[in-house]
Amino acid sequence: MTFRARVLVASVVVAVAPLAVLTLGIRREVEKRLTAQYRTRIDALTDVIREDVARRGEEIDARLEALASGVQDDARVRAAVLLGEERPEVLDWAGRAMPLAGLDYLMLLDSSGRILSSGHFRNEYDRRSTTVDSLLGGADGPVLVQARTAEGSFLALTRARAFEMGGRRFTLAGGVQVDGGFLDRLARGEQAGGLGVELLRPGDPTAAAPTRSAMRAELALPYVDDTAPTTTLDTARIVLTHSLSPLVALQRGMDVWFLAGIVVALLLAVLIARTVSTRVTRPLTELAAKTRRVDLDRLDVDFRSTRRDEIGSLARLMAAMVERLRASVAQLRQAERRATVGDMARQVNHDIRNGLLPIRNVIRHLAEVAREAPAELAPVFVERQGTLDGGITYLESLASTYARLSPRADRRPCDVNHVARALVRDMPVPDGASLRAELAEPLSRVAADPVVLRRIVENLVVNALESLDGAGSVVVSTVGGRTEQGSTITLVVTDTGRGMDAERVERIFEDFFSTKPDGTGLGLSIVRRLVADLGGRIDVDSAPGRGSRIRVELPALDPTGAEEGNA
Amino acid sequence: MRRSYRPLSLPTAASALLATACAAHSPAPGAPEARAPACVVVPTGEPPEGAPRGRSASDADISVALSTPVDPAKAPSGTGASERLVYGQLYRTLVEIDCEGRARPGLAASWSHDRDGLRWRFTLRDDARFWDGTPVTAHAVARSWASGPSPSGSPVVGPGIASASVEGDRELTVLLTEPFPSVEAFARPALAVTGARTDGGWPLGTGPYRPLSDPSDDPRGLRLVATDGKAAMSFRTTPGGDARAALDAGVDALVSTDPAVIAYARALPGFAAVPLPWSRTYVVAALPGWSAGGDTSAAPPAEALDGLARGAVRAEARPAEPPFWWTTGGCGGAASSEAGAPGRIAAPSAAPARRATPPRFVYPLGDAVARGLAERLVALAGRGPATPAWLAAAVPGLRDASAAVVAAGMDPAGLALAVRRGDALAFVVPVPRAAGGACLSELLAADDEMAGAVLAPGPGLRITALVDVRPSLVIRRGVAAVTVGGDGTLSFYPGGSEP
Repeated sequence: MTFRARVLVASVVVAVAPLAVLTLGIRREVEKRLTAQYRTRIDALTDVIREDVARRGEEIDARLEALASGVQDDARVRAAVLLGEERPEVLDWAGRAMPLAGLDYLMLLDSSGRILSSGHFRNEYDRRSTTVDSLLGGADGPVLVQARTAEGSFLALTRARAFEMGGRRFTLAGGVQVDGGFLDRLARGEQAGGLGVELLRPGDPTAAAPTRSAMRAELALPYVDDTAPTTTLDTARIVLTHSLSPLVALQRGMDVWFLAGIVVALLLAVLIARTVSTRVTRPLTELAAKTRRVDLDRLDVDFRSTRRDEIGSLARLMAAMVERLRASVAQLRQAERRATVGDMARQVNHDIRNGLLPIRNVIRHLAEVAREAPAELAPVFVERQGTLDGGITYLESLASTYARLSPRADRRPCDVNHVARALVRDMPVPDGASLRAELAEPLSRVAADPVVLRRIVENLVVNALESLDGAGSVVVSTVGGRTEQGSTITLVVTDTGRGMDAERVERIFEDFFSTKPDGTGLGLSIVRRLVADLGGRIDVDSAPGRGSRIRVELPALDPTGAEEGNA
Repeated sequence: MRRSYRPLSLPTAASALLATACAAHSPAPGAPEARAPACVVVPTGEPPEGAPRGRSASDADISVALSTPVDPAKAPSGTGASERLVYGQLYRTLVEIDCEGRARPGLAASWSHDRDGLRWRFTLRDDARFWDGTPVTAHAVARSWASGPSPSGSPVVGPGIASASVEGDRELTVLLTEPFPSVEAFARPALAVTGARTDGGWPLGTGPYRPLSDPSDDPRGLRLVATDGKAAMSFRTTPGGDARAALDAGVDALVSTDPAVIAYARALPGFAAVPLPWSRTYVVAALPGWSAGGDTSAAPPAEALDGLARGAVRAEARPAEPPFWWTTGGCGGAASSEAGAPGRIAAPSAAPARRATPPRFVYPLGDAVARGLAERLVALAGRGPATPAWLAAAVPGLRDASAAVVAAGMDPAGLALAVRRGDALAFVVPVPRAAGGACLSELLAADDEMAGAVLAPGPGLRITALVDVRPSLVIRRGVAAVTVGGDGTLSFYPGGSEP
């Protein structure tokens, strides 16, 4: 896992975890409190409805009591009931009394349960409703009755009251219709607040079990279906439900905000992780890249940093290390150069001495002969000439051998602009300095080894950059020309460095002459020899404080590839 | 069961010919027969001494309360008691049937018919006049019948008028669409003679009274004045109101079936409550498709009908008394009344594929007697196994009723639609019961908007008679003499005039 991924994960966890805990906690607490509040409300309404139903039953009972008294006190009705005369008077009694008593259901029954008069269904007289009579008489409190009319059926909350008249027992059953309005009045308009009241009779589809969207309470009531052939006392239920929609909506809102918070937290976490990782990773990556470039031959990598943090400290440490390395490498190279030169010098000294020794001996002998027997000098010279020739031959072969040590040049058409352009591109430039190329196009080619050509340009540019002392500019330019000998290519390296006085200009191409304390003094001398090997020439123009200008002129190839001139 | 009208067989035709040959000639022209005393329900006479007089503007001006408004557009065929009462004063037919079933001259002085009763010849009375004094000519009669069915919209059912040929100013030959040897055919209100409509919207009539105003214009209600100008009648409508209030307001007469109103009238000094003839038989009719199976001979027991009459209805009622024209033949089969005949409402002969739920006893909306009977039948049908056998026989469809039976009131259009669709369990409707005999009863039933629609299907229809109902005339003593016609129409003779 990358550093960035680790930072991202950590940021996400730090941002999301507390938010999730907080939201879940709030959600749970809200749910608990609201649910408790709804439960309290629904339980309270249940109690109210229970009391209301009981009170309604008592009211109905009081009206029935009054009606019973009325029947007994009304002489005409009493006579009609007891004597069985004037039947229409009896049949119409309940229909007249029912609305006056504020009832929707009223029956007068005899002791056998036969209907004598029915207010809600006038013409159902003579029907036996013994079940209603017995059940109502035996039940405590009001009973829900499914009653019959000519047009259909309806539900009534009923009571029954028995009374004696003329030594006979009669029953009055009366009640009020239970409809939507009745339930609304029971609920006292609480439906607007999310409360619902519903009446379920036996056989009605069972109300769904409590769900997350509603809370329920039930109130049981005795129930009789007087429209069925046989009736039994059953139970109906008044079901109160409290919608949990507000709570659900609140939770949904919280969920939405929670998700929004999660999204924002994730975005912030990603942003922070990206920023942190970028600010940490990139400098380290750059530092690693610079470190990768460090080489014994490339110690000009700049580790300088203005950061004040650990990365800046590391960069400065790296810079110091490279600086020490650079110094060590310089010393090592110098030592190597000295060692190499020393070894070479010793070897050459040894070989030359070996070659000069026999020559010296012959010359000493000849000198001795010339001193002591000059007449014999000629025969002695002839005699000793072979030794001289052998020694000289040895020295020539020695010279040839040392010449073979230098790499053989691979001369082919080379584009000076290409070499110069590549060098300017790849050459590390110190801070404050600039290096650019101003190359003439098109430019003829020269016959040279590309390596040699690059070595020439590289040495000149390095010397120019080293002369800048920090700030300044170096320009590499090319131009084509023509002399009496033919076409030429002129490479010019111009710098705005410290410059050289005339004495130094005279000696700059000497071997082992250097203006730098750690210089080998071989750079420009090698350049001169390489330029001479190419048939070109080099000259310098410099003045102290005005920079330097080194000009290399090489013979150019004609378009066929032949050299047009010899330097 | 209703019998369809069809041509007579030869032996029957021969005997009928003999009978009709004797009956072909009406009373001599110009000699109207005296009214039968039984048809005078309220004789002319001074009120008892000391009894208060009516509050009419004059002795010859009586006010009558109506329970429903009267629409001139429906004249001369009334669909309700109020309209029949009013139109009966305004329009006359060629022939009138009295309460004993005897034919009396109306606008026609005499009449005759051919052997099978296909062709009739009438001689109009010399003194037959329209309200405007113009004579009632044969041409006017032919023009009246040629205008098509009654403006009320109810079709002229039964024997129709194929053509009417004018033989002279007062001679008219009528060709019927089918043979019908009974003169009752021309006593139907639907064949009352009318002229062009007047400005007030009333067709020009031939009755003893003419309207003075449009019922909707006069705050006093509809006023009729006798054509001789000697009497007047005012009709006031108390729709849905308590008729007793009308009596308290000073009306002189009203017709009611409500026992409470009748009892109240009897309690008022100066009023009399006179029972009128039994004019309606309430039946329960199960349409074809609902009447298959069951014991058709299981007639309701007497005590059941008595119970209905005494308990189920708030009217003066008795158990329905035969004979019933649908079982005895009515007009004797001389005219066709099969389903499909012009004006008949066709009803499905098979049970509907999908029956209405819940199954219904349908009754005419506004008819309290029919409603009471329907509700009583619902109560009896709801007893399950204890449902009376006679009811199960009268309405075999009860055995297939899966849901509780209910009662439903319908207006005429709805009732006709229910008949057409055949999706009602049964219909409880009043069938006119004419004092003038079975044939007139059948003709009146055919013309009745409710009964005609329900009884139209013909074969397969199962009719069970339940109760007879009669109204009572509540009238202030001494204000008028009143007679009743064979179709139950009342005629008023105020101011001491002789009926």
